[in-house]
Amino acid sequence: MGRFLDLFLDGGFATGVTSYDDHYPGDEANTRIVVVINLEGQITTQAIVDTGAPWCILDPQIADEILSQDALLYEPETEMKIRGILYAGKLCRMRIGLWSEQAGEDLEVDATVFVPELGAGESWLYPNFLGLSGFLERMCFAVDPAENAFYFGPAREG
Amino acid sequence: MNMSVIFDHWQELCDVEVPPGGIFLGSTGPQITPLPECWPGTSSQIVVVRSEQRQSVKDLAESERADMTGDVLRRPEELCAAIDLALQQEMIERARELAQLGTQLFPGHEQIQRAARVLAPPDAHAVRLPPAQGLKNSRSWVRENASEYRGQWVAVRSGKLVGVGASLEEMRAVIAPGEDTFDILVTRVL
Repeated sequence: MGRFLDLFLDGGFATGVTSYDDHYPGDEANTRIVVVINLEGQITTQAIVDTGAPWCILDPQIADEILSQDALLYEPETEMKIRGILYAGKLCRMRIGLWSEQAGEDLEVDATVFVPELGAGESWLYPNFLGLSGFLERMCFAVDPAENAFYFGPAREG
Repeated sequence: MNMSVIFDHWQELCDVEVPPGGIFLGSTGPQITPLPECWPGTSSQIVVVRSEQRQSVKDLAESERADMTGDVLRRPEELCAAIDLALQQEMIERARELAQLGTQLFPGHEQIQRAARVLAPPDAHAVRLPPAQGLKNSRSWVRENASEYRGQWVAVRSGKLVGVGASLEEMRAVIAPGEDTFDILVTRVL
């Protein structure tokens, strides 16, 4: 894996590479780009890279575990449209890390994440997403499907 | 009319782009001037409406904040409503612009300051994260065994299952803060 790493490193496009899975756990029907991430240095989990998602979307149970009392939050008074559906919830600022599995450097993004608010007895039945706004928009990234390789690096000013 | 629409109309009517550093000023309202009665063939009821005066960004910055807000975004609550409306409509850039504008117009308003910080563009940088061992093996384990744990949370370390639970809370003992948890892959099987 990482046959293009030298090219991307030398070209200043990427700083690291990680392998990805084609399916989110338990969802064999849909082909995705699923990478391992670390949240706030506390939980290592999986998320789908989705350029169509407006924000990163995080399972509320994970958010409850990692967000401290003084976490940076903004809770709109209206519901927010996420992939065409309105959800109540809050936007949080948090650090999301990606490990480079080969030479190069890891990446950490100070990102904006949407955490849906659930009613009593409700469950969040969806995966975690890494969205365009609030995360991918300030990264360079490339996918090599032949090796399931996800190249990444911080966006540089032109 | 919602705040976003008002804001758009406002810019359109004034034919001025509101920069992040300033906002349309001269909140004197439309100037209404009755024509002279001697105007041939007209009634004194005819009026001329002039648009408001425009001022430079520099002028704006030096003006009193109350005047800067004009008639539309006079109160921080209205700006918050406009930010929320933009978010509701997936107009993320607009929400960011409004929040940034709000930090200048209402520097003491905690909710707007918070919105601006949360909505700010992400900041990505290369770092050295603490090493995580065995994640490849843990992913393999999840791929091969996920179907047996549908709807449950699993915690896997170096390819070995170390915790299962109906909720993440049930696995606190495994992923307790303070313990080195970088190596533990925690995921909920759909």
